[in-house]
Amino acid sequence: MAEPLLRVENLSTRFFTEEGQVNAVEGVSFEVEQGEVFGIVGESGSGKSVTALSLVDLVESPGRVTDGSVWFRKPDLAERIREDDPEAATEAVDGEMVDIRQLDENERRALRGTDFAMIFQDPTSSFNPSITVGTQIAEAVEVQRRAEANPRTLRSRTQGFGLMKFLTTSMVPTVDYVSEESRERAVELLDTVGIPDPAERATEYPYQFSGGMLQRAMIAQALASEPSVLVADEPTTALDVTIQAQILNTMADLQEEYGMTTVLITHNLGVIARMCDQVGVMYAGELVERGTLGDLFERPTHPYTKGLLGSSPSLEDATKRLQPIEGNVPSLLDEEMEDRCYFADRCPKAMEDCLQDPPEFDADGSQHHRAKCYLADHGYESALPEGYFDE
Amino acid sequence: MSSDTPDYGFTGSTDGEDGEVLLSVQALKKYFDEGVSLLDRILGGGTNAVRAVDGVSFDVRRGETLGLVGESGCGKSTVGETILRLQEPTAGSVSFEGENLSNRDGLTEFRRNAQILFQDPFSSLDPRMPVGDSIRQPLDIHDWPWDGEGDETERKQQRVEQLMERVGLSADQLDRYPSEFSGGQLQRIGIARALALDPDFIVLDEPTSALDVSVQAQILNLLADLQSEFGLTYLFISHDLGVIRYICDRIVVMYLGEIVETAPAEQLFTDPQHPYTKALLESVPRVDLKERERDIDPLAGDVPSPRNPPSGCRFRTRCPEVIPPADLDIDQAAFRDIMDVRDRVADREIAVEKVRNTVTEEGGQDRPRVADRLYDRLVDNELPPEEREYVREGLQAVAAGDWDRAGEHLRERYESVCETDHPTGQVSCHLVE
Repeated sequence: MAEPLLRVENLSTRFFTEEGQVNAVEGVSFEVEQGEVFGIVGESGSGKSVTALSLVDLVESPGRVTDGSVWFRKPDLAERIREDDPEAATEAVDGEMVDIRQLDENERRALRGTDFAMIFQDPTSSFNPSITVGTQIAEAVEVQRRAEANPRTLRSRTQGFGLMKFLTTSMVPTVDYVSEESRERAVELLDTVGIPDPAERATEYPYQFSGGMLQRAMIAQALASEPSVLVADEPTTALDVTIQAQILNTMADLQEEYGMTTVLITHNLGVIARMCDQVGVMYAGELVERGTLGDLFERPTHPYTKGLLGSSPSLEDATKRLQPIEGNVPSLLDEEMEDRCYFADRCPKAMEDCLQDPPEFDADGSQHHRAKCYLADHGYESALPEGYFDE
Repeated sequence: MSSDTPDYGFTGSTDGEDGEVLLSVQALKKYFDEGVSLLDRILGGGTNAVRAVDGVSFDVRRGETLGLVGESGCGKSTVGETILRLQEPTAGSVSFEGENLSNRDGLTEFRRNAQILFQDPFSSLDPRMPVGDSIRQPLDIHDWPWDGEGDETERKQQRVEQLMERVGLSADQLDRYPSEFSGGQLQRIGIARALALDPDFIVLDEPTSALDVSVQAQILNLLADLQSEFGLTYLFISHDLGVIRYICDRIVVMYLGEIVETAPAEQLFTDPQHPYTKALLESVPRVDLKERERDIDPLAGDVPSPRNPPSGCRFRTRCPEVIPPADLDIDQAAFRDIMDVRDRVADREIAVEKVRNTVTEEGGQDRPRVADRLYDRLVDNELPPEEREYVREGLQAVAAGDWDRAGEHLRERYESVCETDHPTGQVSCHLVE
């Protein structure tokens, strides 16, 4: 089997807040094959969005990726590092894979926006309200264009948009950062994502777009660099269902056309079912189960995955009573977290071992279907007396 | 609800059509005039109010759960608030137990019997008040206990403790503040507060939208249990069709301030009638392995502005089944294209100037070329030759800058019943009548 395009190993991200250290992401590992859609599903606070941000290295202070590696297959970069610095290469390069986390800041920045692109949840707050949509997309194209023309220099970022910028561009229009070709490409991109009348819409400001249209524009911006990996963080959560269906269809078409590898973060199991090949389920900062769509929907092993499926109301069948997961999501403050299975206090099948000696992320049957649970490999029933956690 | 469906306590006492009407809403309207200045009013031109709710009528029967579903901005929450008179209706009436509420006399009594649970539990409880006090407040306001027996303070305390335990929390948590609870727990406290006065009717305004699915299921089950225990009647407002299907007996679907379809839950989900309902149901991604193969043909476009809603059927600008005039032999996709062109002519939303410039740059200047270019940009489907010619004539008028003539020209031939007549009935669509 070919090497995966992306291999995340033991990724941990912590937030150092005034209340204490928060373990938002804790030892997450997964692999994504070329051209595949990997879905991460979980409830709010499970660390799925922070995992996405950690992948593209956008975690902001007080947060920091503290541990783990993100291996990305990029043969030319791997080759270059080997030539430039053979010593560093022993650590940061593995065959064709490069560990993004060990690259220096400039190299990492060069990957972001070109090889890695991201779509955020809220399109209205992700665009600059005072610049036309076309210009903002053209900027992304321009950045890519310049990076290609001169790959080894530090890419100049887009300029500021303050008074100085206004004065310079009004006096010397030619210093405009964005070239005419980029603008044309931006219009093409808007057309690709299904915006009617793209040339006209490109000259409009974000407030003139509806939420769905703006989300399309954000996808166009992400496509500007023809990225190898697209990280989509809840791309349709802010939208109505009919618009969500439009956007999901567009994303699926583009996925097919560009053969992109996508990491899709969502809390909606329906979206997972519609889009994903592989799925990871997150709970309390950990990946608790992963496998193919079929593995998770038909053969879930982790009690949390089962609980998630059991508590989702179905559109087809209204007769079953929902099976909620009792209790609440645990605190992720480091001082309150012990070394145990974090789901144990809500788990209907918890046992002593879950608390004393938490389970590893283990293989269950197939290479790809794994769960962090004793039930996955032993299959025994709960041995704890009822009311054990009621103190 | 049919009798062969197992009863999980959501159906209450109603059975079919003949339940007693508890609350009746007649031609309810709520317009928001914000942004319309005094000057606009004097000049008379600025009556473009947001028509959030525009003539909505339905009955809520005792013991049932009526679902009110629609996308954001369709006016469903405004309906809930206007029913409870948290907003003053612009027109229309609401009657509760047969009594009209348009005068203020019966309002205090009504508000004791009708409660609301809001969407966001974090902002609907006073952050500086212990949750016990929040639950007690309705008791204080309405001078509970009404029989006047026993020590008032003690009885209130007992009542609050009882309520807290009934919703699954512990009575020792009463003196804690909202910040110490999770979203699901706060929503339970909201429920306790709504139950305090033993109401008959509760408006549930997106009660689980802010919650995660595992907690949402807890709250939905709790609501169902309370309904069967206290014989409550719910108006359940939500955008989540899965939740609506799970908890409701009958469903009202809203679009742009109007009701498009009213039907029993089972019927609505198995046999939707209105094109909008069909599209809405089709859009929801299923939690199912075959979901990827399911072909969805999503609705095109966006919801029009409620300031200036389309004439006739409000859904006609996006409807995939819009009705062509009887003498026109044309397939739906082509007719949809023509209707879209007409909508854009009506809104003057065609970039004529830009097209004219490109044509000029290429060395031409004549109107037919501009019209041809417009036609290529606006019409995707193959039209029959006659229609192509007719639409092109209309676009020539657009190229000449005469929007009104263009609109009139196109209207003459393509006017649809969907735009002239407002559909009525249980399913508000001309196809169903």
